[in-house]
Amino acid sequence: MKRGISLYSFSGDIQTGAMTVEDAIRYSAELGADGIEIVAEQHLPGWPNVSADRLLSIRRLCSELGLEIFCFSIYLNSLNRSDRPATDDEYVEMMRRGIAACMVLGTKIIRPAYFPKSPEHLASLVERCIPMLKDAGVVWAVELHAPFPPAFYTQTLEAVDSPWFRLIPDFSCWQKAGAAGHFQANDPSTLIPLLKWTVHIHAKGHTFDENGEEPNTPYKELIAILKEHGYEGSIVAESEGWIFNYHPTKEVTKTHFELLKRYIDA
Amino acid sequence: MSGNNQIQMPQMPKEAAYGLVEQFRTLGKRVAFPGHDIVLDPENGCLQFELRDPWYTNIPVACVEDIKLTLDGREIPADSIEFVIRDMAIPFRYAVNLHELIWSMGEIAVIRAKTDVSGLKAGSSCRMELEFEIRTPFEGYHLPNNRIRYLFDETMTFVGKEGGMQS
Repeated sequence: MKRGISLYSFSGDIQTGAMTVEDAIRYSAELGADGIEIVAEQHLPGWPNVSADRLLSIRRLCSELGLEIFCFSIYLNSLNRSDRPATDDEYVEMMRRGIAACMVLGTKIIRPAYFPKSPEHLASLVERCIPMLKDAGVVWAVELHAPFPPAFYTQTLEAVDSPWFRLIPDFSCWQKAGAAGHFQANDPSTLIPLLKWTVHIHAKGHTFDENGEEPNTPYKELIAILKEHGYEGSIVAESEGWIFNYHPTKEVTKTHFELLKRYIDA
Repeated sequence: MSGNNQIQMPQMPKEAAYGLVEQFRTLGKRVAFPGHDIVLDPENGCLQFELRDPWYTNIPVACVEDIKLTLDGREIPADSIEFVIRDMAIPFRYAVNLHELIWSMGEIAVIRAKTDVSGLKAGSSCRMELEFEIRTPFEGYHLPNNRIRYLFDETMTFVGKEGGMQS
């Protein structure tokens, strides 16, 4: 499997200006990542109003450093406007811009964060976007994240049944209950039936102990499952502790990425 | 797809939702104030300070919904406050209309209040209580009503215009 780092891990320092996006990309290469994930609303000031030139400069830098841009994340915001929620046409427009950015970046997977209204709604949006996705060669990968249970998107994935609609499991689904927002622990084996749709994975981390382990997340079991089942997609370290318990993100991300490598190489 | 298979929304326990509010407030507290100066501008009858987007993503300016600013116990009327972004001064109450203007993650805006500053002295400090509410443009955070109200309580220092920031 291809291993990398989500630039989300550095956002606690990008936000304050302590790091630039370029610093984060270079550091990811230094740590030995095969690729990165970019979050539009964090790493592209002004998004969705971003120039092709800016996107190309990121693509060029990644190319020079030998990094693939595994995934481009955007948010399907329903509440941009004060007077009404987003319409389906507006969601499709958000996707159009995201897919166009993927084409410029050379990215094959887009993660549109979607707050579920119903399986039917998600399926109808995906189906409207499939012609664009197909033309661009970009896969819509829906992110499965706590507190939603592992099987949450199964029905929609089966109903759409398209190679242009796939899944990004986030390890938060298998974290121990207790941390805010993570009240529902799930058995690691519930990852197995999801692998047939999985194209990318968020290896979530919130805190690390003195041995470099993430005590809330069953990394050993989850990575073993990926290896046993021959998972060949990408996986990125996605550290999130900076939101509520800031430590310099380079140090934290190094610990996190080493943990990931340790279990993949074991 | 069958319309009978309604998605089962997990119910976020209240304590978990409350925990998320506190986590995001912790982040806001860490990042919102790049400095602790309030710049006095007696010539134009205003004061201003810098405020970084306290949320963890870009947000449309339309998500900036409410403000309550108190300096040493004196409340500045919200109608006299402007939200200044990239040199565009927007009456605070009008900001909710601007959904295409983006306040980027990490971007520093300016809160400017038209008020009598003649009694305020450069070099002195004050207690600033700032209640600042945003609507989250993405609704997946399980926050009450998709809003977060930051409650900042900061010690600020008044400075003259020359020694301070530019808006």
